[in-house]
Amino acid sequence: MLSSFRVSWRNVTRHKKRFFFTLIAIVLGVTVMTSMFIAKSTFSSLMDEQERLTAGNADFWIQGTERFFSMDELDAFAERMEIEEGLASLTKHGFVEMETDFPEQASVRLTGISHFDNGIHELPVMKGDIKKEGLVITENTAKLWNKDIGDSVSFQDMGSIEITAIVAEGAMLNSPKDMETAMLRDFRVMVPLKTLQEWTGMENQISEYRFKVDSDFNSPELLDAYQSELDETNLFVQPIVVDMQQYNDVDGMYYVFDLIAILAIFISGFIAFNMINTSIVERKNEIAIMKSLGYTKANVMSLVAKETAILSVIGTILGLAVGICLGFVVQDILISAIITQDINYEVELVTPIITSTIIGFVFPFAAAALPLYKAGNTPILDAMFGRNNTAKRTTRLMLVRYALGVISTAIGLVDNIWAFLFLFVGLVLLFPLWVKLLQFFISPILILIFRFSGKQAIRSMNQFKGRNANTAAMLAIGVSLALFMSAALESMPKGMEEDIRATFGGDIIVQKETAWTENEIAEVNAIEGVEKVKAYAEVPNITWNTPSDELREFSVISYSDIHHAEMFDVLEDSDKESELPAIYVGERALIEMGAEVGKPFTFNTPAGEKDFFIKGSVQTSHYSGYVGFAEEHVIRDFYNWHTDNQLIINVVEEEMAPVVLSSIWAASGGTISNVESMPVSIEQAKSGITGMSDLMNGLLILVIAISAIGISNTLFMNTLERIKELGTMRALGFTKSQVRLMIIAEGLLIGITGVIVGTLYGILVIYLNSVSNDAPAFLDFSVPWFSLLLAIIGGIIFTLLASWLPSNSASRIPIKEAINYE
Amino acid sequence: MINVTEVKKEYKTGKEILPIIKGVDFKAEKGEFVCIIGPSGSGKTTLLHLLGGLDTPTSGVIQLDGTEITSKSEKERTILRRKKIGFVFQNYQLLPTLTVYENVVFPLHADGKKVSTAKVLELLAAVGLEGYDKRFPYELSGGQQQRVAIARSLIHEPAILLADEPTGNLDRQRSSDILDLLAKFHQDRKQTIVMVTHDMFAAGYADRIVLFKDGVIEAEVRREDEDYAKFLSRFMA
Repeated sequence: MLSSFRVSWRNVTRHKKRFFFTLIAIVLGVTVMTSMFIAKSTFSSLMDEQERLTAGNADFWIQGTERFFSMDELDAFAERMEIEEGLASLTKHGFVEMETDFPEQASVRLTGISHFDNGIHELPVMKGDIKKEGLVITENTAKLWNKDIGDSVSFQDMGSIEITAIVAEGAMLNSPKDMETAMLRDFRVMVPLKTLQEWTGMENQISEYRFKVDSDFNSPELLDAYQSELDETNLFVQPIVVDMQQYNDVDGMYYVFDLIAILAIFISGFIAFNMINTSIVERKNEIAIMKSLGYTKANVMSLVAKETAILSVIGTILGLAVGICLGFVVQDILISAIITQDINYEVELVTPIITSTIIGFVFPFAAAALPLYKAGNTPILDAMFGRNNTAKRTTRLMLVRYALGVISTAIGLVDNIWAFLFLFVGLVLLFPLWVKLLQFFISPILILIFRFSGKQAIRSMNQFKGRNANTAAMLAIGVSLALFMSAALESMPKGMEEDIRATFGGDIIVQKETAWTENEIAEVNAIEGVEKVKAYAEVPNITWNTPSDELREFSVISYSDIHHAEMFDVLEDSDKESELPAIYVGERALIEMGAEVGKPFTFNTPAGEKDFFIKGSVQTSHYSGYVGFAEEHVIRDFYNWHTDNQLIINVVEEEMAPVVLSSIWAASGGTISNVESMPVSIEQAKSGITGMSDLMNGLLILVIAISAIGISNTLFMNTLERIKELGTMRALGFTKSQVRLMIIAEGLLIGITGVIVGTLYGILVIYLNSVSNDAPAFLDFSVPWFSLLLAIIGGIIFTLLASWLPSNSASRIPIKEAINYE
Repeated sequence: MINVTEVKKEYKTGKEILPIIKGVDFKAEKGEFVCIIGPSGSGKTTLLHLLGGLDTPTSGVIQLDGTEITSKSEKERTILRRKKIGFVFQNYQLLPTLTVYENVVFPLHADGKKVSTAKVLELLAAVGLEGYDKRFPYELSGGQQQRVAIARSLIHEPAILLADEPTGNLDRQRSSDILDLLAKFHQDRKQTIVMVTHDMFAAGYADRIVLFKDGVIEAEVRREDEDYAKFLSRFMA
C-alpha cells in the first residue's frame, strides 16, 4: 500500500513545476472556499446568537399598545401558576453628562429592570458584580466614557449612579464602535427599574414584561388563552421572536459568498483536471505497457486515483490552514462593514472546516473523473505504437460540447439568481468557438508584435485548443464576475439611495415613547424649515409562521391613502376582493412568509391571531422590505393599535434636516426614543457597501489570480507536451528569446481572449441582472468603465506574469535532450 | 570547411565523469560527403551534435566554414546554425502543427527572411514531394516525412548538412531513395554532408568513412583508397 503510494507520489511529482502550480491552485481554491464558509457561518451564527440573547430565556412578553403601562395591570397575570419567572422593564431615552462635540454622541438608551439576579437575561460579566444593583455598562462604553467599576455616571435631568458591572457587548447592552458612530447609535445601559422610574417620574410604569413558563404548560393554546385574557385591556401578549432579518439583509451577501466559493473551486478543479489529464496523455505508453503486463482497468484507475488523493490531501490540508487565517480576516472586515455597534463574536470553525474538508477532498476526484476513465480505457496497442484513432471521436465530442454549450447558455438566460451559473458553464463549453472568432482579430496584432514567434504561438494555440480554451474560459469567468461585482457595488449605493429617497416617506422620522399629541405635532410643524408633518403608527412585533413553521416577526406601518403612499411602491396588486382586512407586504418578507399575493395569511397581532388578505407586494427601504403596510383604520380596528408614535417630517430643503432635527431634540429630547433621517440612512447604507466593496474586490482579485495560475499551469503543460518540437525548433535556428516570446504570445492569446470574452459576458450578466426580478441587488445597467480598464490591464499583467516562468523554462530546454525526448 | 581539433566531451553522472569523446581530430573538406560509423554509444551522434552547435565540447576547438564555434554564445551558435547548417534527424523531427510547406520554410522564417514560394515548391519537387506542400506530417509516410526534413535542411542553402541516422527508421527501399536524394544534392550542389549511421549500406554512399569507437576515431577510409571495398565488406559482414 505504502509502496504504491510512493509510486503515485513519484508520478505526481514527476514534473515539479506542474505539481507545484496545480497544488497552489488547489490550495487557493480551498482557501477561498474555507474563508467564505467561515465568514458565512460565523455571521449566520452571530445573527442567531444575537436573536437568542435578545430574546433571553423568556417565552412571551407583554407590551402595551400605549407603550407604557402600570405594573398593577399585571398583578393577576403574574400570579399564574405556569409562569416560572418574569422580568419587568422600562426603556427610556436620556443623555449621559459628558463633554462631546455633538449632543447626539451622549445619547443613551436606559433599560431599567425589576431585578438583576434573574434567569431571563444572559449578560457575560467582565468586571464587577452583575447581581449588585447599580449601573451596568459594556466594555466599550466604559472605554469611550473612560469609566470603571465604582465610578459614578450622571444622566441629564435624571441622576447619578455607580457602575457595578461591566459586561461584554451583546444584544441587550451594547455601544457604538467609536464616538463617530455614536452620532448614529445610542449607548445601551442597564439600571435598576426603580431608579429609572424615580428619575423619570414614571412610578410603577413599565414598557414590557417578559416571562418564562413551565415547559409542561407551553403550547400554542397557551398564547390564545393569554390573548383572550388580555383582550379587553390595552395590553397584548406575543411569543418572543427576535427576527434579525428586519435589520440586516444578508441574503445578497451570502449569495455572493457562495458564488465566490463555487467559482474558486470550479477554477481550481479545472486546473487539477488539466494536470491529471495531461499526465494521463503523457503516460499513455507507460499505462499501455502496464496493461500489457497484466494491470487491469481497475489497477490503472486506482493508480491515478492515488495520485489524485495525494493532490487532494495536501491541497486540502494546506488550503484549510490558510483558509482559516483568511476567514478570520474576512470575518473581521465583514463585521466592521455591516454592524455599527461594537460586538463580541466567536468565529465559527467546525461546520466550515468539515464542509471544506469534504469538498476539498472530493473536488479533485470530480475533476479527475474523466482522466481516470480515460486512463482505465487506454487501448494497449494504439498507445504502444502511437496510433491515433481519436480524431473522429474528438469531432463528435466537440459537437456534443457545443450543443450542451448552447443549451446551458439558454438556461443561463432564465431569470433566476442561480441561472447565470449555467451561463458560465455555457461559456466554458462554447469557448473554443470564441477562441476561433477572436483569433481572427488578435492574430494579426500578435504577428505584428511578435513576428514569427507570434505566428508559432497561434499555431500552438490551435494545437492545444481544448486546454487553452478552457484556461481562457476560467479567466473569462473571473473577469466577468469581477465586472459584475464591480457594477453591482457601484450601482448598489446609487440604487439604495434612489430606493431610500423614493420610499423614505419624507426627510426625518421621529419616534416618540408615547403617541404624538396634536399640540406636539403643531409645535414641530412650526419649526423653521419644516414643510409638513404627518403622524403614523408602527405596530411592532407582529409574529407569523414560515412554511417550515418557524416563528418570524416584523412591524406593520400605517398609511392613509394607497394612491398617495410615500413609504412604498406597489409592485403587485391583487384584483381580488376580500372581506378580510388588507395588508401590503414588503418583497423580502413575502419570500420569508412563503405567502402569495391575493391569498389570506395569519398574523399574531396585539388584537390576537387574525387572518389578513395579502393585497399586494411592495418595494420599500423600510427594514429593507421586511415589513408590512396596512391602512390606518385596519391598524386601529384589526391590530387594536391606537398609538401614532411616529412622525414623518418633510423639510423645505434637505440641507435643513440637521437644523430641524436639533430643534426637535431641544424641544422634546426627553421623550424621543429614536430618530432617523434620510441623508443619514443613505450614508449608513453607502458606508456598509463601501466596506464590503473592498473585501469583495480583494476576493475577486484572488479568483483572477487563481485563473492566472491556470494560465501558468496550462503553458507549462503545453511546453512539456512539445519538448521535442521545441528542441527541433531550437535545432533549426529558433533562438531562446524567440521561444520565450512564442510562449509569452501564447499566454497573451489566452489572456486577451479570456479578458475580451469575460468582458462581454460581464456586460451580459450586468444587463441580465438589471432587468431581473429575481436578482438580490439593486443594479442599473451601466458598464463600470474603470473596472473594465482595470480588468483589461490586470488580466494582461497577470497573463504576462503567468507566462514568464513557463516561457523561461521553455527557452532553457536543452536541445540535444529535447530532440530525443519521447 | 569543418575542422575539429582535440575535442573532448565528458558528462558528469553524480561523482563519476563519463568521457564520451576522448580527443578527436577531424576534418571535412568543402563538398565532401563524410560518413561516421560506429557501434552504439561510441560517441558519433555526440560529435554530430557538437558540430551542429547543439552542445559544446568539454575542451578542444571546432571550426565551421572558417568560424570557430566553441567559444560562441548559445545565441551566436543558434544564429550560425540557422544560416550555415542543415539538420536531418533519424525521427524526422517535423513540427506536427505545420504543413509540409511551413516546415520547410521554418529556418528562413526563424531568420526573418522572406521566402520565394517558387523556390520552396521547386525544392519539394526535387525531393519528390510535388503537390504535398499543403499536407501535414501525419498525412505522410516515414519516407515522405524524411524527404520533407531534407528539403527543410536545404532550404536556406547551408554550408554543411548534418544527418543523424537519416535512414534509421526506414526500410531498405525507402532508405535507398533517401540516400540517393542526399547523393544527388551532394553531386549537384557540391553540398558538404556529414552523416552519422551504423548502416554500412548507407555508409557506402559517402566519399569517406570514419570509424568511431569508444570516443576516438579508430580508422578511416576514402572511396579512392585501395582497401575501401575490404573495409566496407568487413563491417557489412
